[in-house]
Amino acid sequence: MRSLYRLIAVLMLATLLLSACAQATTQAPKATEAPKATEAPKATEAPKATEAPAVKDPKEYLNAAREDTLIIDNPYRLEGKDNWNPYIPNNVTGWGLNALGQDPLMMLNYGDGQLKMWSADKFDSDAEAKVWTLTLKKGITWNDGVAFTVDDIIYSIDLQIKNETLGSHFYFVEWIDKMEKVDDGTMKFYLKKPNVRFAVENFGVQIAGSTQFVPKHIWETVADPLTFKNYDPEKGLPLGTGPYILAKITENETIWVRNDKWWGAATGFRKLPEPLKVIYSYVGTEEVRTQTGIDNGFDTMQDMTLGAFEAMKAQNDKWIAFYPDKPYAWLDPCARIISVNSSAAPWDDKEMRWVLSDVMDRQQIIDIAYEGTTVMAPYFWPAYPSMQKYADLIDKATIDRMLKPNLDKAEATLKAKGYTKGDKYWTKDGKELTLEIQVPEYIELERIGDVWLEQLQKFGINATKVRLESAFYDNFNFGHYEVQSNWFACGSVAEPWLTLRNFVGKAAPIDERPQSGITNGFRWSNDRYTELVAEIGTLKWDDPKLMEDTKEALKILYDELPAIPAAQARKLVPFNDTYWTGWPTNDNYYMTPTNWWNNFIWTVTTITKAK
Amino acid sequence: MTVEETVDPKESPATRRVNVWDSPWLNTKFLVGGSIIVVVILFGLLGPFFWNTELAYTASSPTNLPPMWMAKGSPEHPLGTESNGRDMLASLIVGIPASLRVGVLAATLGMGIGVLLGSLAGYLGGWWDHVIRTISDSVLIIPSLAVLIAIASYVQFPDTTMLALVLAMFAWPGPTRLVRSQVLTLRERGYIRMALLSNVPPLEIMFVEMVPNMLPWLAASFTGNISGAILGATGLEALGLGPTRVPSLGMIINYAMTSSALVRGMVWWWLPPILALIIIFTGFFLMTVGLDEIANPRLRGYGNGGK
Amino acid sequence: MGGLTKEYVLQRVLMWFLTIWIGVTLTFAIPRMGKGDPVSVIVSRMMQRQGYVENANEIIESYKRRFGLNDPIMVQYIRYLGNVVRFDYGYSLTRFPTPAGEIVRPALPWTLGLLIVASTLSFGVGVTVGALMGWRKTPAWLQNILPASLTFTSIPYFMFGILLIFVFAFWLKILPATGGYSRDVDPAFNWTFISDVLQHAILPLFSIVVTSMGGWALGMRGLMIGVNNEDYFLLAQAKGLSPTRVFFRYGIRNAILPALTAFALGLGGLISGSTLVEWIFAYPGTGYVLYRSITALDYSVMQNICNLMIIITATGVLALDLLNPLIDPRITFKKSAAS
Repeated sequence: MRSLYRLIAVLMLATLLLSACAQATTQAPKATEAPKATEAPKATEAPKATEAPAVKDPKEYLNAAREDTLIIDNPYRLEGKDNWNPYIPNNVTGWGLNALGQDPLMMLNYGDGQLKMWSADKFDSDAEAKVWTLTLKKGITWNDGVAFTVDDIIYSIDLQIKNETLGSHFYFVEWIDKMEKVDDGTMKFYLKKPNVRFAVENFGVQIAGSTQFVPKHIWETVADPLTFKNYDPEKGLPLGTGPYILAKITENETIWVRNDKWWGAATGFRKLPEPLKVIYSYVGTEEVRTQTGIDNGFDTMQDMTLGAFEAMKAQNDKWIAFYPDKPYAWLDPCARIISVNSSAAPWDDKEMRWVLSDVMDRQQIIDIAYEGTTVMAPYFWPAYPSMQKYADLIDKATIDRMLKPNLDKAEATLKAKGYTKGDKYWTKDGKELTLEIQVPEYIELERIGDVWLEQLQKFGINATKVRLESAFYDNFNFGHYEVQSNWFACGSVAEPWLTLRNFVGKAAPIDERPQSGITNGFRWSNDRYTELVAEIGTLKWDDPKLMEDTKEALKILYDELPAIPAAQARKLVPFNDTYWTGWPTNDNYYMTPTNWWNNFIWTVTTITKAK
Repeated sequence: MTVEETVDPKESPATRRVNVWDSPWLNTKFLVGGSIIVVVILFGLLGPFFWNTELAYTASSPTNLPPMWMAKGSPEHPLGTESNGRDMLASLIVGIPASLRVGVLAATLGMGIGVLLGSLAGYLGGWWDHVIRTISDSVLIIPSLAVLIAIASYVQFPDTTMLALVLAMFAWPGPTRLVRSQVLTLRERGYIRMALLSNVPPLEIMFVEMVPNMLPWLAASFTGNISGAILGATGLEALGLGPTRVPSLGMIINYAMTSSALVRGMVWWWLPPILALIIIFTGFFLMTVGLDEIANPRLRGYGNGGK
Repeated sequence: MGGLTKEYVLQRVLMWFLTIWIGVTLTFAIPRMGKGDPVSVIVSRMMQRQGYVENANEIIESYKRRFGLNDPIMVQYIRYLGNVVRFDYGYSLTRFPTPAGEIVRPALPWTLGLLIVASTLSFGVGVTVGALMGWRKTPAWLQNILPASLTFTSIPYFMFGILLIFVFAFWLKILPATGGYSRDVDPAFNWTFISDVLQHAILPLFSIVVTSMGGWALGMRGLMIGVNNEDYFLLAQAKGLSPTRVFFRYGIRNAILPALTAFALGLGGLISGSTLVEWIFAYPGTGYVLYRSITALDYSVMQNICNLMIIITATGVLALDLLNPLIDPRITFKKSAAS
């Protein structure tokens, strides 16, 4: 019996091996073969986008053929699929409404640092940046035919001002004094204090999103905007001005169809987008996403690991990314940092914080945590071309010091502080030097922590890693941490202030939340720095004083190091040339290559059908 | 229940064992299973003398190397490496005993507490029964997964021992209930009644008369529970709730899955930990079968059509 | 036959109340014992999206007011007990303005449908395999094949699920890979939709059944071996009854009771036990909802699901306690045994 059992166990293993080999045998590219599950029933007469003078009922496009369909990968589950109220946290407008159903006023292109106008014609301020005038393009309509006017904009912002839990309530209350309609297409914002960033920050898709507008004629009739879900397919909700209309929601997907009556095409501002149907699809883990991509089940995907992308590209050479070769990936606007709690001993001493930085081997973090897909640039902001002139203000010697580990310097500092090296770890007064690294439930930040932890261990600091979920953010806010791997210096993409302001103010007391502008969660305090950054905030981007102040502020920041630049984050966003071409890449950088941001409308109206 | 009166006391398991002279421990299944487990343990114990286990840590080795017999493989990393720069051989040397420990620890604690409390509740009855049942029923109906996730989001399990303790916390009420009901059944048996009548001390009845009677079932449960605990730990690790520095089989599998090892064709990453799980399970299973036969000589020769 | 005394029934029902009360109190207390604050999680999410949130404190306060999280803990607890009785847990904290019930209810049929079938199949197959393994008269060839089927027990079911997806969905292309149903069908009570749902359920079902039946088989095998030695079993064989009859009437019937108990105890797991399967197969069930609600500290959704599980399990236990004396002729619930 034993022999038979063994035989069967062997057979069992053979099955496992078979499945292991199965994937090896499927390595042959199957580019032309669409997977069964995603194969839409062939439309009897596929309407050609360019030669469709007669306006179709958009719902007919639900039957569009695969080659007329754009399928976008969403790696996150569709949760709360009927919450399309854009002003409520955790809404699902990211499943297409933000990018396809609505039109942003304008979009910031990281490629050239330019603001590109969309539904806005002009958005300028007076010399002091206190009065901003917005002019809309002519002929914009909601998809139900009602004209889109500045009344809708005023209503949308007013709604947020009146309700403290809606949208950007506190921001608008802080800045907007009043809004004034000039005519249907023109309005003025009177600010309480000058703000040179007012337009781009709120309406320019600076990072990911911008203020979304809602139709006044619908929302006026809503009893309680706080609990209104903005979802009713019968009534055409969610209603937007964009070129696509929400046609269907399943458990894991949203399906959008083209609105041939879209104002942009009608007014000749832009041609109708070519995809008749757009699908946002969640298929599960990266393994399944990748294999779906290999089978052409997607036309573009969200961030993925290098290994998965290379496996996909090897089996389907139609897949491209921002760069044609390694590192492939596009840099994310939020640089990764190690926040140090600068109130907690022994890290309240800036030299000790520098020890942590000196031990860090950033190249190894790039090589392992990022598999070589990002670049070396120890800044608190992204290494974008638009940021280079500000990055050049940082002391060259300081940057050079961060490019490689300086274990001898770290050792010298520790010895000077009275530490001695024991068998494994540095000790002082009989106590081991330890460090708890907190990481959130986010694989990228966790891997930075993993690699750094080993570097610290080798050097002789007994580092441990703690992975936290919701408690991670509270710990930062309340100061319950030594160091955290996070992105909390995020902000700047084209000017320095947004990142610098994260460090202003007094150190927030432990157990108390930081108050923006008054205290900070890094628990660090430098009066001169706060003063400088306050001034930078009021200066125009081309003011020479801004460069001067920024240089001084950066000197303080890098000298004191309340946070340690760890790595440039990156997003590997794959595009598939099988059905659609003309994707934004480094060679053709017409728009930031993010398919989950509000600016994706630019890309969708640019891509063309593959021959 | 007239049947019970015909029971020959010599046939009760306790006495039966004494009558076996031909050393029952020489049971082949038991020995084969035991050897497998011993080899697995030795692999973990002796491995560190032959291989540098520091290589099991992140960033200790080049990334994504295939095993040495494949193209681009290197003898310095005979089983290859994964994408965090961990050496697979070192990871297995560290990970296999770690997982085995979780399984055995959690299962032993869970079963141990379960047998003890279950026997007490079933045998003594009365208030013992009430208190034990209320506690175990309450623990039983709390969704353990929910509690585990909630605990794990505040406490990081620094090593697998902690993970095992937490798993054991929820592993005892099941056995408690089952043992209790078994004891209730057994109590009605003739030989136990007889023992009760002849004033045998309760503890002796419980552990000399009753427990051996439940042995096949207990041993099977134990094997199942070891696998269950290893898998439970693996599941928690897959949800991202386990230790993260020192590898265990669950952690290797988890990293392999989140890093798309399958689609990348890195068979050397995901298959070895699964094979290790199968081997451990097979070892314990054979031991169980063997144990049954040792405890019940009548079972020997099974598979040859019985006696 | 043992009697089902009034006293015994009353006692069991009281126990049912008591355990449920303890359970729901724990689901109230446990998430609150941590340091986490659900509202600040919402604000943190906003930070994650926008990079910077002004006046976090005020936003947090206004949310807390709305969810009543600023009230004294006793007030919250009493309101919560009211919620439990009405089975209405109010708004979801993280998916406001959707009520918790509206999040849980659409997910329930998926999970229950999948898991009831999976658990029953797994139990049925497992118990049969186990019984055959533990029965002395099982033909030799079967005795040898069956243990191999247990090998799968040692593979994590989510890993097995991924392997199944690759083999059947991507390599052989005969089954859909993930999801609840295809994008080109509409939920309706017709064969197109139902067959589509069934096709999508095959792989998750298979991965659960194959990897979990071994557990039942192992336990049942042990129980059956015990029965093999029972005198009534030997007597039945001696009487010359047909082997099949002996196997079912005297073997399985007697051995299955503890296994049934274990099955009933696992009922609550029907709702939670599928988190990883739902993750791998992108299946729209409650397991994933539960996991998300716990990590995001969405008290109302979490309590909704957990309490559902608690009530189902407690009721299963109650049913068992009441049925056991009726099914098992060997247990006589004399007053001394029960009280």
